[in-house]
Amino acid sequence: MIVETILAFIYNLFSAVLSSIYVPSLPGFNDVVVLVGDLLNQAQHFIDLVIPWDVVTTGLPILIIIIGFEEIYAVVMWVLRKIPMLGIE
Amino acid sequence: MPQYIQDIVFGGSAPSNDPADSYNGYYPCVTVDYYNGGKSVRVWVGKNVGWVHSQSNNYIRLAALSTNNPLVYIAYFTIEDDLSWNMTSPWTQIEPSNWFKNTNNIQWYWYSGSTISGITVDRDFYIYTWPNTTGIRYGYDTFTVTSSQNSIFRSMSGRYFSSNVNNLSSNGYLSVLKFTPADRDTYYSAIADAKQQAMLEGQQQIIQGQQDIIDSQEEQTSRIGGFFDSLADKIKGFFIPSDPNFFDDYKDDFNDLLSDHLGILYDAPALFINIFQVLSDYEPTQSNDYSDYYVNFPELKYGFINGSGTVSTETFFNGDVIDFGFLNDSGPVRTLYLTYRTFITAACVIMLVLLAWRKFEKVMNR
Repeated sequence: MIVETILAFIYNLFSAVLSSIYVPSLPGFNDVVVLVGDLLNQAQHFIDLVIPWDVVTTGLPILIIIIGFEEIYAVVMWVLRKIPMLGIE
Repeated sequence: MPQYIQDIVFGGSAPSNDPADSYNGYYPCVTVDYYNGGKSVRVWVGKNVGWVHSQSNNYIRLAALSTNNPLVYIAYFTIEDDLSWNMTSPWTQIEPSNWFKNTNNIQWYWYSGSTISGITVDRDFYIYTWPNTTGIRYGYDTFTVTSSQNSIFRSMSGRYFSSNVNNLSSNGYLSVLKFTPADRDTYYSAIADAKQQAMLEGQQQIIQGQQDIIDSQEEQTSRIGGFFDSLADKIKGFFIPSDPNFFDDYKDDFNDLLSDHLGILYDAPALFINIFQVLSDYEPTQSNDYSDYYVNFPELKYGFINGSGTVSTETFFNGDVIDFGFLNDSGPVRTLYLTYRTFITAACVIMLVLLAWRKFEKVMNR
């Protein structure tokens, strides 16, 4: 109920603010969106043909974590050092 | 010497020479023809019947007894006797003083008219020791016939069976009266039914009582559990929308709102949102079905201004579509491709492990 109320409030707020604004859209933009989506789908099909998509979705985050381990570690520790109760120097 | 019960007939009337006729004439009874060494003895029994036997191997006493109206009969003989309806020698006359007056008395009666004294007995189904009145100790088996059972006896009039008894106990006692199973079941049904019904009702009451307790506990538990469930639902519903599609609908509505009002300003974010949506919603093939897998290479052309000043187009690639549906055809290509997928999966895992190991060494050696 609370979440619904807040989100409805935000929607109504935006709706009220934008009620008098009508900026035209790019002609044929929706076609472009559909085309891009179709191309992306084909690309994903092609990737799936070469490397199974499950391997991609599972392995890619792991690969990112491995490659950027030091940076991720530094960011995490930087955040943890900001918590005085932990006492991490 | 063979000894067996020839016939048992339920119901009947007293014989003409029955002295009890003067009292009742007709009565419910069990008529037993007892065969013993070629001689038959008929015994009539009244409401309560019993078999009396001596404790001597040489004597068998058949007795009919009644502790209640109408009468008691007994045929009393020994196996050595020349048994007949008119036998007299085995009988011993005992005092007839309590004849038919005490319900706890057994009246021995010789059908020729002589009586023996009444003897106090318990009417339950026991074996008794006969008092040493006559100088001979006897035992007898009795069973009580209720009025309802007596009615059963009467309703069974005309039925009889012949059966070898020959189940004299080792000491010569006729201790078991042999009925057919059906007769026995009928005879005991009244008692059994009554007892069973009483037990059943008692058990049902107990079960019902236990069920009431369980129901009461479940009701209380349900109330408590229902209260907490309801409370949890209310708390959850206080924060989380009850409609499971709320967020999706909200996102679409908000997207439409921004797109309608912001137009070109919102096109770029909308495109990125759409790309992200396509990537996240992608579902790869299931069961290795590649019928939807294709790559569309678009046409490539360019325009230029020709010599006449007009724009011409030159196409250097007409476009092509590569359809991978052929991978569905069973054959060596599909087998090879599926093998490749297995191999590449294993290779990716191995490469990730090796990369992680190298990264670990790099970090540890720093």
